[in-house]
Amino acid sequence: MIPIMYRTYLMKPSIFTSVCLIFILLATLTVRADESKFHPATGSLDRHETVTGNSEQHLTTSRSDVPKVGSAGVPSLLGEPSEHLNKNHKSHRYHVATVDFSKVSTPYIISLWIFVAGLAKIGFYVTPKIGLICPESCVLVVVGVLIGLLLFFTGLEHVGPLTSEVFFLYMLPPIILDAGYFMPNRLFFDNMASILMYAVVGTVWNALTIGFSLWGVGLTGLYGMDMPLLDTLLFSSIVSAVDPVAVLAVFEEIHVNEVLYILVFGESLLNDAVTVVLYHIFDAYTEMGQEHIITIDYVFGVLSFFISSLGGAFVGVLWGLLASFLSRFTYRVLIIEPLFIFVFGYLSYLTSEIFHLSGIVALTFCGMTMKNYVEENISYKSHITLKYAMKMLANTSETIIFMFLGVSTVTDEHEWNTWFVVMTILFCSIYRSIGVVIQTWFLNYFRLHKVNKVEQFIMAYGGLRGAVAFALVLVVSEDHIPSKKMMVTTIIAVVYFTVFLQGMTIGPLVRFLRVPKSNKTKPTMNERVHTISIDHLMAGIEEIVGHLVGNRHLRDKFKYHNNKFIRPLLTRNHQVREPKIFETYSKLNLADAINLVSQNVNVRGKDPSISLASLIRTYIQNNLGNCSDEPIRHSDNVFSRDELNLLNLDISELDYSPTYKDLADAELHHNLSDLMFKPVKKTVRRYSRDLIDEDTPFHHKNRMELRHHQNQLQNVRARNKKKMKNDSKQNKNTLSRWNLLPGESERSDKDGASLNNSETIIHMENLDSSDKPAPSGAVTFTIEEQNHTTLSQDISDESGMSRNSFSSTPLSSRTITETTLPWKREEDCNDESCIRKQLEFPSWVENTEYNTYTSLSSNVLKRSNTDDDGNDPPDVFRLLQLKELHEKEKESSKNQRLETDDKFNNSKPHEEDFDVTAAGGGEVLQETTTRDTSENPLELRRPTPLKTNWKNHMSL
Amino acid sequence: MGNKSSLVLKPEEWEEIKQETGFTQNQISRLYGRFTSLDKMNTGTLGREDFLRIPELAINPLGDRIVHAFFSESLDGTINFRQFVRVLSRFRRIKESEKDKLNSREEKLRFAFRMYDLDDDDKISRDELLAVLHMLVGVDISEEQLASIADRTIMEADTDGDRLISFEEFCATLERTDIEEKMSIRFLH
Repeated sequence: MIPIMYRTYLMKPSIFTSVCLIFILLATLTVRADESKFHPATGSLDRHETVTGNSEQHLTTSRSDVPKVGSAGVPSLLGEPSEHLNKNHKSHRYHVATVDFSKVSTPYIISLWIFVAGLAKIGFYVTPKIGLICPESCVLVVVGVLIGLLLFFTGLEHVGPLTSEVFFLYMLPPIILDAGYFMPNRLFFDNMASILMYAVVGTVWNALTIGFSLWGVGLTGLYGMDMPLLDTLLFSSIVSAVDPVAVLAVFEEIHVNEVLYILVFGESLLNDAVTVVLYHIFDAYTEMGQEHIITIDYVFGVLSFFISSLGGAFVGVLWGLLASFLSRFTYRVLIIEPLFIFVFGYLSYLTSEIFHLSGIVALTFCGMTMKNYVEENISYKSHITLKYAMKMLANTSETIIFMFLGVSTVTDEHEWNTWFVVMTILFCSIYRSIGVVIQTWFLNYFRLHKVNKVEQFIMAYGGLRGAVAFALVLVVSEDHIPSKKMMVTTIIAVVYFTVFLQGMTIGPLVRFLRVPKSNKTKPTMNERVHTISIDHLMAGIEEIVGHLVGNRHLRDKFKYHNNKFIRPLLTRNHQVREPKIFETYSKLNLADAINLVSQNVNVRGKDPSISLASLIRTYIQNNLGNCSDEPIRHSDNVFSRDELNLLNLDISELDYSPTYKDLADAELHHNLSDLMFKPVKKTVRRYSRDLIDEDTPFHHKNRMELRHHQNQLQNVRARNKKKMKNDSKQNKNTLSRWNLLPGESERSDKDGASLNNSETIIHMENLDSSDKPAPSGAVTFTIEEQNHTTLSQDISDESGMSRNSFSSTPLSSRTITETTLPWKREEDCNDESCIRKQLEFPSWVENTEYNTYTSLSSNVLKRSNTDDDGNDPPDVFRLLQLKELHEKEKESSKNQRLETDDKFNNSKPHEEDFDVTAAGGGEVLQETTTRDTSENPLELRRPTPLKTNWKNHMSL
Repeated sequence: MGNKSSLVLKPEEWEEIKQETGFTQNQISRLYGRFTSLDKMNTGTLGREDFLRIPELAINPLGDRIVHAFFSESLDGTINFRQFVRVLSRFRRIKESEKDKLNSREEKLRFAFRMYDLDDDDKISRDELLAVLHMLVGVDISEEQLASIADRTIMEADTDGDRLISFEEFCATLERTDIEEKMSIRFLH
């Protein structure tokens, strides 16, 4: 019957739901196995234990008296007939296999619950359309009820009780910690006054009015039983609090605007302090008895409220600061980094519970405090771990709470009192609405953002009650309050009413009333910077106006003191006053880099060993060969051939003078591309919708990139120009770039930077070789090294590449990877045709599928490849020329190199052109020759194997 | 306070200021009280040093810029009460019925723009942005880091490719931001 109900409820039974059902049934049976002794020999299920058993026992009960079961293995293995089995044999024989469920029953049942909860959650998201009808919490409660029924009819309803101990000690903290840690601090403090007002005044108002009204109605005898005032007040203090779990569950799905969200959610978090205090007050009063209460008790009651809330906040902040301080030192043990956050949060919760302070307030404040400082200290990986672990824990406990709520509904201990239930729901709704309207009217006088009528309605309507109230009412002792059972039932009814009726209708209502939705987007750099400056500006204006209006000057003051005193103590890197700016910057940069890698798949191409640089070189060599009417490799003039290879014809490579930032960017690109290259290659088809037409060869993003790099390039040039004057004298001397110390080589590098695309390629090639040991021992790279070493490697690579390629096959388009790593070579390409083929058509050129991506290089490559005659300069030159011309306009450059470049671009590449002695190509030649003569092995940054290479091909 | 200010200000001035700024009588007299308390020398005008005497403004990273923006309309480096109120009226909350007053979105943004525009040429250059970033972030940060941030910011905002942020570009970048609320103060009635 239950499966049928379940199926009909889900409307569209899928495979998943049936699998779920099977698992749930299995789970139930497994739990049953704990309770009943299963005799394998007879195959009978001994149920008397369960049926007569004490149903009050909950899951923590361990049954040591249950004898070992399942000893059937031995006899049957021995082939003995089963009749011989009796109890005497059991105790004396060694058992091959035994079943001892009781030993693990508690953790096993807990795991099963989590498992079932997970299944239910998956089921919710797998089942189509169910999310549109009702929120997740409703579905979970329904599933809980179903399981409860299942357990009830099998006589196991005590397996999954929602005891208040389990709830408050284990299930609530993860949710609150998650809420506090990911609380939008700024929004919270901006609306702090309003939130406090709603939480404190609103809750007290609700508790008192509901309590007195219920008592008043009770006087008429409507309930048919006697309800003293203190009882109704205790009850109303429980029922008046808005539940953070329920609110979170519902409001996260409806996406109302931030202010509305923080008002309701902040209220639900902070009113816990009020609820706890009210509860304790009334609980104590009922215990004392109405006649013994004296005035001092009331005074202490009010006082204890301040102690509970402020003390909770204090404890939370204290633990939060401690956690932040400790996280300064965890960078050496990254693995335990996230642990601190959880432990300290939990400790703050437990500490405040010791002193009867509000644990929820403590945990909220602890999370909010920690986040500020811990986030700056912990590593990125820990941050991700923390985020997911926290969300996972919170989500799981939320799921289980709702399920337990459903399960706990099904007991036979209910005492239904229609009038009491109806009156409670009625008063709850009415007084909350009145309270919200009055308080908002008052607050709007002070608030900048006025809460309008629609928002007020949503606030009143969003006052959901949930498991907190349920868990609290379970704690009430039946000795003092005889009507406890009725209260429990009523609370469940209220919870169901709010979670189901209000929770299900609030989404459509929000849409119908057109409540402004939140539009959360990641801030751009401009937004981030300007927002911060506007904050300072407004703080300054508030100070000039001088009245105590607004809280911006307070925030500014806090920021100042925070930067001056607190952060130096708690964070490792405290020089930065506005970490948000850097955070945004690195986030945007990361996104850019990922974008770049995903867009420019073809930068590396299908064949990773072919780069733009090598293609260009091949192309020019090929052209030169045609011009001189003889293949260069057969030329007698060794030196000219040498020159050709030494001359770096890739302009972008020549222009490449990386700054630290360039190198950092390139390094990021390597890491990303290294990680993402393979997956991207697989999902390449998805990007086909980004295809661009031939008319517009650039993708929008590439243009942005170009401009970005141009900006950098200008700065670099401006800076380098100054240095060039200083350094040029040095450079003419024997000091070659190879002999310079890393730092100096950075400074003396006077070429302007250029397109990063090609430099990325070079880096990528380097990376390839760095990952594996280079057998021929040409170059070994370590990408983890400091930036300046990478720089010198880069430079050495460029020439090393040309040298290497020369040493192996003079005409080949081989990159360093090909030459150093034998397995990277497709085959032994010693014969001419093979090389020829590769020159004109890269190996992937026939595979049209891979040619269609939108990247600068792929466009360039495609065009250069489709040039049939091969005599026209490929588009890459036109492109670079355009770029150079554009820059020329901008900076009235006297740089010789520019002219050289133009010469390169305008004229067909010819042998004569390579004799230019200008800064560009000539320098490479000069350097390499200088280096060749000054062979001081100690000063060389390059390992010696290459030198032997170099010598080898010199001897050619 | 009200008595004192009404003694100094002529009735027609009251009306003009009310018309121009949209403040109520009460608000103006409060502001006048503030004005006189800032004016330690009793000159009837405020100089830069009067502003910089406010302790919180001294620690405000943009304090200098804010004061500078206050004097953008003055010629002799001092402002009188009327100019003072005019500047402050930019930060009044926008009412729905009002149009083209001093507190319009554009005026608010113009004031924020002046924080960056160090040389008053209606463009934010890279150097200006860098200088302001230095004020915000602190002095110990490496130039490289800030420069890259400044580059990124300019690249993002710069739509016409002149590597400067004009006021229009500045407004465009803040299109999604709720400037009306962010740049408003609730003046007490």
